[in-house]
Amino acid sequence: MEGIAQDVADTVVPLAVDAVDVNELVERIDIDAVLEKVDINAVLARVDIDALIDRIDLNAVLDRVDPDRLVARLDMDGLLARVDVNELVKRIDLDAVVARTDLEGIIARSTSGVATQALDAVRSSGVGLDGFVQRWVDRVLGRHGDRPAGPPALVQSKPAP
Amino acid sequence: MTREIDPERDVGLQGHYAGIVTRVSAFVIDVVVSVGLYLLFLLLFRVGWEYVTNHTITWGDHRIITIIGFALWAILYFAQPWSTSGRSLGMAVVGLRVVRTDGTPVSFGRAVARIVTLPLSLIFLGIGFLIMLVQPERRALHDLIAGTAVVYSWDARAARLRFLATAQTDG
Repeated sequence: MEGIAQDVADTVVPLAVDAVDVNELVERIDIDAVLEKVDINAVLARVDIDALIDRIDLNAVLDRVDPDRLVARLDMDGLLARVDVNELVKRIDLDAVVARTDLEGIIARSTSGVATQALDAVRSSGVGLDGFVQRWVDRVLGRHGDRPAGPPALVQSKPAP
Repeated sequence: MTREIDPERDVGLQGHYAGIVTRVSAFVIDVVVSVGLYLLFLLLFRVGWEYVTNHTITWGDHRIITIIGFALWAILYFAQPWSTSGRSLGMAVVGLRVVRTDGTPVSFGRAVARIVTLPLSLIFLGIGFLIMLVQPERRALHDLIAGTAVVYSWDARAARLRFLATAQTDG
């Protein structure tokens, strides 16, 4: 009996499968309704992302990237507008930059000479003497130097050093 | 005593109110140059006058004209550069600039007011000048009248680079 049933199944099932139009069957399925019933978050929670990333050959992916096309799509003006240039400049070690510069060449090409350097020294010394005199006057008058540093348009509102 | 050269400090002090030492130094330079040029003018005028008219001029006999001439010359020497570049020759040497109290440039009229009232700061042993030692914004009497102030102003960044270059070369 069991053997007969097996023979019938072996004969009928292939005939039934051949008779089904799979494409038509798929078209009649409401995919959206099926997807609504799927809990995507639960599915993703079961995915091991690290293992997935380990299987990706990033070098191969990067090899397929066209940097020129990528850069062309960037809004450089918008990008630069978001950069705080003043903050950037503050982070530059100017002394280190100067130390790595061909300063002797710059000096040779510049018009500055002994007179200019003497002028620099006179100005700087003058500023030092100004501070020296003012500190003594403040000390005699018992003031603590809480004066405005300079006109508002030229300096930020902070007390003089 | 802080007499040493400090380019780093100088960069940060640009636009700050200038002190009495630099201001007096600039004023002395300007007085020497302006008086010297005026005396040179009087000398050349006298020589030219004698050459053309064959008559000698004794400036002592024309004191009023000489004084008025110097006053006009002083206005031209000081007020004109103050209203254009903000500095006279002496101020340019020392590294100073005249500005309005809010930091904006001075007009020619304000510059004239400043030079006309400057003698008030010099009379009575220069008490009007010494006021700047106690005035919070370091302004002298003629600054207070004309609505001006004097600030440090020179290319301190370039000076700093020159200083570093010299130190590197010497070191």
